[in-house]
Amino acid sequence: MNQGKAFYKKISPMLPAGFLVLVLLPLLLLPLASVFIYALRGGPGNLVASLTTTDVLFALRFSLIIAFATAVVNTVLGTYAAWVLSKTRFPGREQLGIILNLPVAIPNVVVGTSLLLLWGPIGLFGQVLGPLGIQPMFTSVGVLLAHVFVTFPYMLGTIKPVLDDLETTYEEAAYTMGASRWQAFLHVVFPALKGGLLTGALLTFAHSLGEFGATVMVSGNLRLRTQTAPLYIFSQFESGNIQAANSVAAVLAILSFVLFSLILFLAARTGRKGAQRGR
Amino acid sequence: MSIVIDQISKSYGGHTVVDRVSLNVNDGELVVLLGSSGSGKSTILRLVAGLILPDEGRIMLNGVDITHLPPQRRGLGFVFQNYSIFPNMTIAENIEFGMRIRKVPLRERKAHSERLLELVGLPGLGSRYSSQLSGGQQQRVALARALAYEPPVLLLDEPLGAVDTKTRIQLRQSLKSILKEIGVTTIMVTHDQQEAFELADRVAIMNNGHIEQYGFPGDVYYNPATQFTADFVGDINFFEGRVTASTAEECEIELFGHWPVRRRGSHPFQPGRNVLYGVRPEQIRVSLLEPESYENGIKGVIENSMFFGDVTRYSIRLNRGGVVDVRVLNYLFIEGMVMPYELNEEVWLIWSQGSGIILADETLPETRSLSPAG
Repeated sequence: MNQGKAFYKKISPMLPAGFLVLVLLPLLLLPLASVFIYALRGGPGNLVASLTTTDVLFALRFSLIIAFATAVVNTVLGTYAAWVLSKTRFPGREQLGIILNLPVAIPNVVVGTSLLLLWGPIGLFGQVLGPLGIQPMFTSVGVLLAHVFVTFPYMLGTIKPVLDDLETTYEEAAYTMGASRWQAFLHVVFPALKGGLLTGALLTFAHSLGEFGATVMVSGNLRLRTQTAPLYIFSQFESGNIQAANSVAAVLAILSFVLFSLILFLAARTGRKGAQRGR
Repeated sequence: MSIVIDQISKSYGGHTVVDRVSLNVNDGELVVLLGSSGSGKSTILRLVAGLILPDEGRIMLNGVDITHLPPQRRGLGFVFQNYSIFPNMTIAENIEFGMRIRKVPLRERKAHSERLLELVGLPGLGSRYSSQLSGGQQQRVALARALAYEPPVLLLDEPLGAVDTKTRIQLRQSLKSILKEIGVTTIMVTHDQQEAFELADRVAIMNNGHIEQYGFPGDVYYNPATQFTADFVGDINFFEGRVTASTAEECEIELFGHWPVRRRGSHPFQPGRNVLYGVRPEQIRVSLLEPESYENGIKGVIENSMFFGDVTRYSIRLNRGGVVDVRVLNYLFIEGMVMPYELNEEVWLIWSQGSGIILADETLPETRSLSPAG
């Protein structure tokens, strides 16, 4: 009897965690594991072969380029938007803040549709630009537009709280000491934003890398032209090529895992720095 | 360098924060703007610094109009209430920032920042970050940083507002000695009357965006121009009164319609004029004996007493209404010089005929007497 009690006492702290793992196993862990299992089904040689086809190499490279470009564009745009919302006062500021965060709430397919309706051949802008030989939809520009739209709130959401916390007296102190606006930004504001900028850029990059809904609408899923890695996976599944699909899925999963770990590491480091400063 | 503030005003959304304020600060003088929050004192400091622009009026620095110059070109030193020490820079880098912007050579910068750290009593702390310093130390760093590029004028916005009382008293003394040593023209903002009186060469009392009174601390305290000033700079008991006799040397005032008090010295009030008569609690002594002929006296009953450590504050209800607050040094009780007073005991309140403040009746309060300002 006593032995039973002792055993229960020993395992009881682990019960809630055990239950959590049990619930998450079929929801998160097993699906992820199955990606790797299917990717390696034909052996490592098969995996390497399926990852080195022209289509896969293009899709992976295109995804990385688009993700990088999206991160760069949104670092500039998102930081500027965060600065406007945080440091300036104007009527409708709160409403603008809500609108700028809308891409998080709108389904990505709807974003893709709306971009098509605006920039597509029959769209408002498309009709004007078409005769001039400019056609952003079904090109890499269209894909970039969609990714910038969908991931815009991530940079904004990372930078705005930092700017909100950064009291204007820091900049004012710099001004009184003779610093120009640019010098105050460079020496005072930018160092405070550095961690946020990196985290925001990585978040944007990671979300762009996995984007599907808007991309499928605006890209036309054209192989070797606008096909991103997620679109390649989808196409291969549709044509029954499970192993090829899972090989690329495994690469994306590993990339996402690395990026996510980096973001967590940066967030923890920023937190530690903040805690040290707060002492 | 001297500063002349000439009729400056500033409004935000129709609300006037600074209303046609004029102020002269002489070269090397330390002027304190004293007022409660919202009185406009910090706005004046920000206007002088160029962080905001006035709607009207002029600001002159040594005779040169700087009203529309950006803060970068004014070159004034500013210490913010929250210190605003740049957290990404070391203390030395913070102090050197203004010199770095001015392209002062590195070696010169280093030497000067070390001298300044010594001046503010923080030698050897240059390699630390602001997070590693106490509030008092940060205040000293903010001061050193503002002085680093040798500004013609130093502006201090509640510089001791974010530290505890004991540190504040220590910092006050060191701030005074540093500023005197350097001799820089300084405008400081505070809501703390003790701080203002201790540091100021001259003090300006601010209320609702304008200056109520500007003068030497002693003048402002003992000869306040308005009831607000009298109340704001210290505790005071006010009574309604009427001037009954008046000569060049002295004035007689009747309190509560029958109780005469005298005030030595010249004054502008003619017999028959309704006035406010004020006496500060520390000017009144409590006694069981009647006053002498050269003293003012009024009778009352001890209604309440409160122990404050160094003093006991008695609230005494006067026979004809109204309550007067009086402070008695507890030392006097301990030494047996005065016997502690009992509740409901009838006593005399006695004060010198050289004490007392007489103000015109425009400031007449609704009640017969006022409790001291908090």
